[in-house]
Amino acid sequence: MSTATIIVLGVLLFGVLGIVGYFIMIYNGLISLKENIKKSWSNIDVILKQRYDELPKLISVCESFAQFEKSVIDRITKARENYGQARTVSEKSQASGQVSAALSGLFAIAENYPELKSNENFMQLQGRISHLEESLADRREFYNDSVNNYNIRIKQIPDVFVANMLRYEDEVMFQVSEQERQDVKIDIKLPKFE
Amino acid sequence: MQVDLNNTFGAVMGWGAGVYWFFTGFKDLKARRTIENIPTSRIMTGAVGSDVEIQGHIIVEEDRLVTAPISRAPCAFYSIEIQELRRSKNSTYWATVDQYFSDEGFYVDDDSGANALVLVSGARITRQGSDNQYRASSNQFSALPGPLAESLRLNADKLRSFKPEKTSWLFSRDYRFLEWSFQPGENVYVLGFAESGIKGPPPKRKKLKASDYNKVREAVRSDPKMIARFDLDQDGKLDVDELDRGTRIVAEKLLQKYSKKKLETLIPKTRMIFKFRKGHQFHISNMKETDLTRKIGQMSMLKIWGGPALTIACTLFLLFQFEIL
Repeated sequence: MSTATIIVLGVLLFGVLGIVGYFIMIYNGLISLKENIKKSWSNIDVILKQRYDELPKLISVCESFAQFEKSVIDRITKARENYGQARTVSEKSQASGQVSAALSGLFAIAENYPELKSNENFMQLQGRISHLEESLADRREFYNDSVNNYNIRIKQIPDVFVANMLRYEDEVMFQVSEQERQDVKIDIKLPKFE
Repeated sequence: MQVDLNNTFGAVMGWGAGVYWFFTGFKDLKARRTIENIPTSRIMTGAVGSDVEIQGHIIVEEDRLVTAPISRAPCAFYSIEIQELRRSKNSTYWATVDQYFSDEGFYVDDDSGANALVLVSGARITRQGSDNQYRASSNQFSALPGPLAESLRLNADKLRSFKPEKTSWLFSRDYRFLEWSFQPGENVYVLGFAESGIKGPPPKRKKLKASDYNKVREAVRSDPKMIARFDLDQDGKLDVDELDRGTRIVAEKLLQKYSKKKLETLIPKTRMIFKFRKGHQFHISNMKETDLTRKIGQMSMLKIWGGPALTIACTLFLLFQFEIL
């Protein structure tokens, strides 16, 4: 056996091992990325469910104040119903946006009802829901980062070959609703300078 | 056929090292991809019970600052790596014989309203910045700088291979002590399996220093109330046994108070505990995520390409050596 043959055999051996190892690594990497998305969605779903369960309590507290605007309560009830019927990620993200918008409307209007605002149950629920909203915002960001990483990976070489083999397609991000994206209107009357 | 045993042994070792590097290169590549694939979470709202990546800064209570034994700088956490100078036929090299950390872990805060406790054992630590070092021969161990000698004494139970005992000049060996530390406020990157902070183990209780122990002993000896309390034979003074017993009890009380204080301050805000878990990556670094992935990526490429090249070269050498080629 010549020196050249040994070198060629060595390169071939390591080459084959390397390609197989690399393929396994990409395959496992894509699987874990896909599972990460499922897991981060489940982490969002937990928060959404917790918020969903808190809404009837909040509605009940608001309803106990006879003069509280019924349209606001109806909006939350409707948004909750829509969320209950939502199944896919995009449906749930849309319904979740409606709930968030309805809630922020309710909390804004509650400012006009000092008795409601100072009610202990209402304060507790407001605190709890605000905490859930904060967690939801963080986990939504995490989910979208996971989806973004996955969507980039399945288009990159060499991952794209394995992704095509596995028939992996783009995942949908958790969209923020149009209402949530709107700027808050600030209407402050400043004194005129002479 | 004349075989050079030293070179043959070296070639066999090189052959094994090449194969080892080749496979560990893939391990590094996998680590890099894992770091890239897991998005950063906030400690307050991150999902525990899974692999979590956080970025924040090191926090420490003022009374928990430790002094790095070589640089003598106050820090939150330090590592001492002990290396021994070994000689082969043609060269010398430093071999790590032991390593210990000042504590089991440190706290990280990311301004999310909660903190994370990172228990470093089993983690892969990638750092930027140079180490402080101190060199000494084993016949000079009695003259080690005070803080280093004290640190070695306090952490003697963590040392598995190294014993800081002075030897005679004849059996002397050269050692070097490499120190790195994490300063309060220093940025840190952590990726690992995060457990719920509530179930986490309390930090290991700190041992009382010999100087503090002597102070306690002196306080027990001189305080009339203490004398009255520990004077079992009621002869109006403390004999050696009574003094030892009294010192032990008071020292224990002080330690309990200290540990309780620590538990009351940082633990309630600790939402995550990072610790080594088999089958999960565990990385700690004071580098930015992009710099860390670049460094690990470079290492993996070096190993994946260099490993096979070394193995092929060593194979050729061995074949020539045994006149097969």
